[in-house]
Amino acid sequence: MYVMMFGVEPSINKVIFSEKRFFAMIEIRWHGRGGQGAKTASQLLADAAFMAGKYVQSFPEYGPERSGAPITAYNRISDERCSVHSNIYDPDFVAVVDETLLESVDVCGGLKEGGAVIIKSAKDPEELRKHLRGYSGRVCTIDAREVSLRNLGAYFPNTPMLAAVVAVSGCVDREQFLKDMEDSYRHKFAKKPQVVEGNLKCLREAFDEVKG
Amino acid sequence: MSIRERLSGNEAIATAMRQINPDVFAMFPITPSTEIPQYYAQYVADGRVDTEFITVESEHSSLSACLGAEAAGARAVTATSSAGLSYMNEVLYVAASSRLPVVLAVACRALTGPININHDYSDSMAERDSGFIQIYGENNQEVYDNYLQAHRIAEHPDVRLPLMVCEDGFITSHAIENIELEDDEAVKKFVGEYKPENYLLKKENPLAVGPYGVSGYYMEARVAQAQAMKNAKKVILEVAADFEKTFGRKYGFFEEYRMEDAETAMVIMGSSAGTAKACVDELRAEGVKAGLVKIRVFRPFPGEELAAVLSKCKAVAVMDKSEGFSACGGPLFAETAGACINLKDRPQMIDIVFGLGGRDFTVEAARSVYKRLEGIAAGGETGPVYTHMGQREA
Repeated sequence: MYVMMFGVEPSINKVIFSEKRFFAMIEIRWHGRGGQGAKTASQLLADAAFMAGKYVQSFPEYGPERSGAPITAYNRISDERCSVHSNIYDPDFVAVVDETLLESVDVCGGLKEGGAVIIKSAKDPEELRKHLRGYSGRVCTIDAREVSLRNLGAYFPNTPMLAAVVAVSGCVDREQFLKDMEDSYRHKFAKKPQVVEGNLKCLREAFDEVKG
Repeated sequence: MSIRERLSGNEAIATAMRQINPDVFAMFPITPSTEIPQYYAQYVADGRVDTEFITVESEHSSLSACLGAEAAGARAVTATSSAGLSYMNEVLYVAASSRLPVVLAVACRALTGPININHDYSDSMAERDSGFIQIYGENNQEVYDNYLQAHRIAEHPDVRLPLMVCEDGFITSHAIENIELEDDEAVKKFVGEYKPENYLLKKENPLAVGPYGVSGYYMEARVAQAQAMKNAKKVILEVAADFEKTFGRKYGFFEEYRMEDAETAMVIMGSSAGTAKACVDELRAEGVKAGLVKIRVFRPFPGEELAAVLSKCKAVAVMDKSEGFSACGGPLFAETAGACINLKDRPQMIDIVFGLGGRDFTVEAARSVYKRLEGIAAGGETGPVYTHMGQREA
């Protein structure tokens, strides 16, 4: 029934009850280290989904406040306002912005088998699977460093990472996403229009270069 | 016309402040409220407000500066959390008893110890007897809306009491969510100018603020202050009615969620109420008559109104997100149980202390509470009245 209502795969979408109806929701958990931008990446994703007309949540979970310590951030993206404000334990998707975390953190803990983990890494997905503590679902990687250096001449991994998460999760339509991001960049970089094209290329190429 | 935006709770509060453009903002930073003065400093630097923005050396001083400004007839605001609120303690009482309607934004956070930056209501509950009005929001939207109503309630001639607009630290303060903002001009028109009848610098009517109150006068002053808090109930509803007429969103002392025929209910506050609502929806879909009351106004406490709603239930769980160390229940339980004491038909009532220092509260946890209530409602024993939930056992 949910498939008919929302055109989504029920196994990867939490169904939430609102007062009189059901609505579909995607839950994403981000893993990074303090200072690496996992919180910022989750905010960028919320921005992209917001621009596409969705209801969004983006929130960090803080432990001891120190640079380099593992941190977690979360997204909920839905067609209705979600009133749940707990952390996310059974995410549809997991995004990992630092592959060295795979050794120390069970990043796939609770991740739905029908979902996917997206790891920022130059490696092939199957190479990383052995670190995922038995997770048998979809594993994706994006070489965000390479995409960023190639298009921007500098290391801004959040941009390709964002595109990879949108590509794998399908939380926003590709063309809508690229159009909204272009508008956003033109506004944000009004005084530096030369960087807009590089950022857009980052997004487009990351979309195509996600492995897995 | 509302403006569709996405903001954190802190930015929502800073936005409301910018729209209101108070005369004075005295600030001292503390996590997780720091972003509020941080955003506001940008508005000052960009010339979007003409507020006197004072950076002081402590929270005791920030509230003192607000108190001085209010006594001089200005509209003054500040923001704080946790130990910062505790450090204001002495001045909170001075502001309230001097009847100076400062509006204080509180991003509620645990108190030490162990030292902790995350959310519970240890800080605001510790100040429940300070004489401040306290209004709590579930999410960024409610916090913004509460802030737009705050000055009108606090400054009303029948009230003239300071007011805390409380949001959940991190959970609300740092979470970005959709929000409907109102137009700057519409907000200014709704909130209005602050025109106190009397103030320190009014030359036609010189007055003293904060003089010694001998025993022959002290009690009269306290009774007048207590009356002002009672008056606040009427004013809170009037302002809410006008807010609904102007902006379309409805508020009261509390929100009744699916309480119409509820046999079991939770009394709960803040963001946790939103999480519990999802559980109520699940239970309702399964045919369980569960409901929820979310307290918005804790001071003044809407005792009679709450009792009337709870009287129809069989079993009620009061959810306390602070530990009062009374050994017989948290502060919300004490108020709720007290409010119900003279009901002819009282529900059986338990208190659950949860979520301390940021311990997460989930839909599943809410379900376990309703499960316990169903057992009680089915004619079982009330069992232990005061328990804790979510902690690891030793």
